Amino acid sequence: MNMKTEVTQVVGFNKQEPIPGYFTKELIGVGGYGEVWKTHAPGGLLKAVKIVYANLNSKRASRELRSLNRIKEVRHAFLLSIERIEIVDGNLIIVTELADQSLKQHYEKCRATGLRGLPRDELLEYLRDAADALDYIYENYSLQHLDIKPENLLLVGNRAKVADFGLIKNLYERSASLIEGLTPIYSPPELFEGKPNRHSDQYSLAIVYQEMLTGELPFDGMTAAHLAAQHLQTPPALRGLPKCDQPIIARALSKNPDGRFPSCRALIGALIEAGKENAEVVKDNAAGRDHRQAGSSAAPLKTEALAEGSFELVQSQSITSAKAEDWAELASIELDENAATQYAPVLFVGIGGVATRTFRRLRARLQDRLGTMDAMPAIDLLLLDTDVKNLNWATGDESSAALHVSETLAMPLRRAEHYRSAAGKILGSISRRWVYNIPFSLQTEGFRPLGRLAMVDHSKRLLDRLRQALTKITREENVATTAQNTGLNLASRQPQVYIVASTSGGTGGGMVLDVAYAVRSILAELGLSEENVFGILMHATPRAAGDRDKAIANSYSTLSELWHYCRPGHNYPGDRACGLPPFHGNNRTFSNCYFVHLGDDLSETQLDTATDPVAEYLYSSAVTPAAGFFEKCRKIEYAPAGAQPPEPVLRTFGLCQLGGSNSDIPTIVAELLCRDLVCIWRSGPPNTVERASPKLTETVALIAAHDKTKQTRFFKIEEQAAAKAADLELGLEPMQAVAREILGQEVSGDVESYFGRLILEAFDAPRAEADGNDLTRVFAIVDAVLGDVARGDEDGGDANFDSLDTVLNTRLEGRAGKAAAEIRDWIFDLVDASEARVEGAKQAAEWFQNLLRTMERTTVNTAGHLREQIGTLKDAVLSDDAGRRAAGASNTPDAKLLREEKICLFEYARLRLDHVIESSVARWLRLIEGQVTATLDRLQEFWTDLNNLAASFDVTPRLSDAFDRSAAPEIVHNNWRSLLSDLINHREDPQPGLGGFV
Amino acid sequence: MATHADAHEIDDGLRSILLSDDNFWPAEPKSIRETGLNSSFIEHLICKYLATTGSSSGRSIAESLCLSFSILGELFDSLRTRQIVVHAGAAPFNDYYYALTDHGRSRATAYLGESGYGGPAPVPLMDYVLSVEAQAITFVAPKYAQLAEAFRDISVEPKLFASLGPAINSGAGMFLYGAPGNGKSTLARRLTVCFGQKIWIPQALLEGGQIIKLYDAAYHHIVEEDDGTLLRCQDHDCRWLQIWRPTVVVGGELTMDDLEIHHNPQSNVSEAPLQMKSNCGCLLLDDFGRQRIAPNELLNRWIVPLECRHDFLTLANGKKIKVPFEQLIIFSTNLEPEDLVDEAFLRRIPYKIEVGDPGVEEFHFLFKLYCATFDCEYRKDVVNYLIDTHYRSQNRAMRRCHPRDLLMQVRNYCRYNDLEMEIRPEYFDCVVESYFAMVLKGKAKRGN
Repeated sequence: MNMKTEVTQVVGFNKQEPIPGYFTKELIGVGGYGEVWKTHAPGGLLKAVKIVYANLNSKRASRELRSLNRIKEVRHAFLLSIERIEIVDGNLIIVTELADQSLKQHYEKCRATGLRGLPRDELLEYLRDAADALDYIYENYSLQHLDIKPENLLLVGNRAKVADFGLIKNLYERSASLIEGLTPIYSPPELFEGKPNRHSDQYSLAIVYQEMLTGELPFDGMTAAHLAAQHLQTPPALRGLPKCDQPIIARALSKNPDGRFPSCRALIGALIEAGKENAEVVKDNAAGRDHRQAGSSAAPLKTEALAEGSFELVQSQSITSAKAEDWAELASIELDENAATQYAPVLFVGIGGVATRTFRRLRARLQDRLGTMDAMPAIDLLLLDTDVKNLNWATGDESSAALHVSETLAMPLRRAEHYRSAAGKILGSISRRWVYNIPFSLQTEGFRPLGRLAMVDHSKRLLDRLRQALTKITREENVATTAQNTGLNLASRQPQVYIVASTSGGTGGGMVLDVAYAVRSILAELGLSEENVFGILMHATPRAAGDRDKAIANSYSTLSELWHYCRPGHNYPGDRACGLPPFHGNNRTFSNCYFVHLGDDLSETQLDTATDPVAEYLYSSAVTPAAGFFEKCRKIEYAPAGAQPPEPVLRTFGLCQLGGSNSDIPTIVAELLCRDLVCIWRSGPPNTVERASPKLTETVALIAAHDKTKQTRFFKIEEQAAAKAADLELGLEPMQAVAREILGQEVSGDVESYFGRLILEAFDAPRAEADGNDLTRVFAIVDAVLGDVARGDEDGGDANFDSLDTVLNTRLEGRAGKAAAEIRDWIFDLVDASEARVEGAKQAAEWFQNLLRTMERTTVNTAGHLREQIGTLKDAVLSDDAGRRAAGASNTPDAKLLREEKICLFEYARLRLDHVIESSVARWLRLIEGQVTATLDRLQEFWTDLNNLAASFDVTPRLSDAFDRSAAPEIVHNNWRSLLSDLINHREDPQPGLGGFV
Repeated sequence: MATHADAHEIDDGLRSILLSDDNFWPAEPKSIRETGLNSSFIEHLICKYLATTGSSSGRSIAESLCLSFSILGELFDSLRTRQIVVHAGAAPFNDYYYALTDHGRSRATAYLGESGYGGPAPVPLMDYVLSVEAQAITFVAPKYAQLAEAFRDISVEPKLFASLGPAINSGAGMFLYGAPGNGKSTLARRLTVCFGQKIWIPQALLEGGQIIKLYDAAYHHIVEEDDGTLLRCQDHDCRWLQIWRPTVVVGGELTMDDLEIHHNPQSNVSEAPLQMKSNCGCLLLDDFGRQRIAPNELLNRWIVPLECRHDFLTLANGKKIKVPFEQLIIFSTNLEPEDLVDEAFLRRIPYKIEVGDPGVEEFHFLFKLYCATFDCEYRKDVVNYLIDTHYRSQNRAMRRCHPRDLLMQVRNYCRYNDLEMEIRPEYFDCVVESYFAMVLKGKAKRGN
């Protein structure tokens, strides 16, 4: 399809308002047909407007108009409703309802989240809607849509609607050409022949189903012509679909329309039914994610996949794959750190190209760690390969990785004529077709039988070399020399033999089992234990498609063979052609066999990287303290329930390197450290619960313990704050006392007696005529000394002296500043205290803030009450006095009255004094609180800054990348984190070796 | 990662390679070295080809030489550098048309003088020898079922069947004797079918600088290319052809020369002998004893090959080569074996199977069979009439060929007289006269 990407400019056509009242807002689609715009329609509605430019595509426009005339009378809930059809300046304009998105867009969103496609159930919902609509238009109007594709299925609400009727066709009308405008990916074969059928839409719908579910198309043609040919001839590729769906989609994709389902609904119905019947598969698929298993635990699954493949030899149900719990079991292996690890003489036997890569790496590791290979005669390598070039590469350079020629054994194939004389012997164990089909390259080219042929051909040399190597590594003096030179505790002569090969290669896959039996027969011959013959089988597929299948087939057959030998009641029959005796009784090929999936579609470089962990494992398992751990791992029995006698077990291992120098993990660790440090600054010691805890009970205990510590911690902070408050005499009574004391100092004596004297003096003083009322004057004097009750904080009174409240406030301001500074300093000190940090400081500041606010509220309330009492008293006294005056009482009051008035005045003075004190204390508290709040704000800011800082160290995504690469399962991740936490907790005494295996 | 849900499907092509019964597959050579030929030899072939065709594109040259275009590239460059060929224009797909220069033409003439061979590139003799060993008939052991399948549409008596099976399995020679017309040849031809497979043979061989043509369209029937997926999925060496196992039938025309490499001095090209052409198949010596060479002579020639399963042939340049002698040899004769050869030879041909005359029942059965073939109604009474009138009363022996031959004559008779094809006593009366007159005369002369 030729898609135009630029928006078309048409002269004389107002695109902003194609139809009066409809204002285009946003372009939502451009295609060969024209454009679709999101449009403001009259009434504030949003509509979709499709513009088909007639002058660009008059055929298309007229066809579309014809189609519209067919469809415009058809109404169905799942057909996108057409609201207006106009022809403006010869351009066709169609107004339809506006959908949320197309199925295609929805699918792309799902893909962006890492899903393969839409969840099956959801997809079937949509397609059922579409099927309803399609069946409806056929059954009632004999119409076929003929352009069903994900772009034309629009989602409105949670339902799907069929849109774009550009090709819709009445089956009983003849039409000139259908080819133009159709979408070849989804078009049924009959459409290419111009003969649409009542089942045509069903075909497209089936393709839409497959694509939306799996992201794969049944036909992969890149050009219209190629696709057409495929639609017409090639059977569809349905491999990506769940098994239960395959026959259904295959039927819907029949080349012969009559072979399909009777209706679209029947197709969808069948899919729904199949889903119910096969709930597990669907569930599996509903998750939709690529089945990427954590780490190498996937390897046994792969085995199952092979077993379930097109060959049906191995009963897959008998293969039990490791489960998540097994990891926990691994994690729970306890190692006695004090016990010295015991090592054994080791022979590594590698077969084929993948083993060569592994061995180069392994040799480099051994030499780097233990010195030259000559210094450790009890550790030896033997690399076998049919490919001499590969061996030359293995031995070819000067690096420590290069194998010595004596560590290799070339077992090249020879031309067929060389085998003719020995044919009788060889043909006993290999089909003649292989003997006569040796490639010109004289390599196995990925055929296992050829690997075996080379082994049979070179069997004598091979056995000699193995005998030589095993004799060498187990010789007493060699064991002693090695122990001396390497410092390894080589306690026994009983050797370990690791047989390393790729099962997917011709050489490795063809020889490995025979080589294992060869090793065992020699061990028996030398009187050594056959206990520790380990198989390290690797599987990888290369890029080229043909080779990939070959690799899979090879692994399949190697594993089948291994399976056969390991089953009770079967045994290795021996091979007279290469002098191997049959094995009876304990006939398992390996005492422990590992199967490692290196990866699929690997390039040479990737293969190199992928073999690194294997080399690392071999190295660790043979000559590092990790050996003890692996030994214990091997002791774990994986017995499937009810398996009697024990079934063969394939083990696997994953490797993740911690603190390795060649990865970005150190950076991540550093950043994690920074983050944790920031978090400590922020909140004190790290949360212990986050640490991995292998056992549930322990976790619970930890949580409980943690909760307790948390409470205790903050409880302590509050206690401390209270102590501090007490220390600072932050309390109503002490503060009132202080205020009273200040007032006393001001009046040089007891403040109450001062007022007594003052009132008496005022009372007894000669009265000036102008003064009028005596009582008013006394009130005025008291007020002048104490400050006006109503004045509050305002300045005023006599300019010559400050009233007592002003003096008091000024004096208290100084004290408030001092107290606030002390509190602030104390809080800031908390930030540095390891048990409090910012969080604790905040807690303390808030505590102070609360305390001060509460106290302030109390004082303000008290002051309010006092003010009311003062007002009431003053009014009462004055009104009594005024009343008396009005009654014409003499100017000289009687003594009783005078005493009463004095008592009232004393009371007034006392109340006024209390009020002044309360107000001052309130003000004092307010001042301190203001400072505390400021402190708290600063802490809050700091807290936010720290959070941002911590967030900037968010390494989680990269962390998971790093772990993905090294394929570490969750438990490893957790253990690593716990190690890290330990490091942080004891950073005064950091552990030197963070690296290691888990 | 694959799981249960998406088990890996092995590509059909690979599966058919892995599981195929083919013992031999000529893999496509990836370099000149892998062809087993040297580059100057191939250059000669290219020059000779261009001398006869004028100009040709690189690809068509490669096609005619049955070598892949990719390995010839360097040779074309070298020829051009040495000014033996020139580009005569561009050809599609990154290719050129090549033509000989004058210099090249004179060379080509010289090459043609040395050897006129201009066909597909040959295969080294050793490759051929291995291919025969791999595909030898000795390793295919046909069971009863295969035999029954091969003789499905002809009538074989159970007794004969029982003795044929082991004889075929021996892979050595056998005598089929009995009166003429009883289907010895038919039987012999059918035998190859039960080996059932296709084999690969090279079109020509190269040994000691001599080219020996092996492929002979008369005996070798090529398997159509679109037959299986195998061919499409894996490239094979085009110098090899996949054929049905050959059945080489020789009659009286056999001479001693046919058993040696036949060298044409003009073209300096040799032709493989019959026994080589029949390797991996069947060699049927029909009418043994009637050859132009005496039976003793023939058997003397083959006494060693029959024993050792290889033959020595002499090339035109005098070199003796050892070639496999791996075929089922059937001597079919209407003479008694004892009359033909002495005991020493008979010992080397371990199976002697007599193909006798059919009984009345089988005769009826044969009529029934052929009536169906000729699309007419089988009438038992008419056949009984025939037997009574023309066999029993005349003391004539029934032969397996009679029903077919007589019906053929009846058909011709009906056709000529514009009658509907059917069997009637009077028709038989007519045709019997002409048919037996000749046969009987011959028989009288020979035997009685």
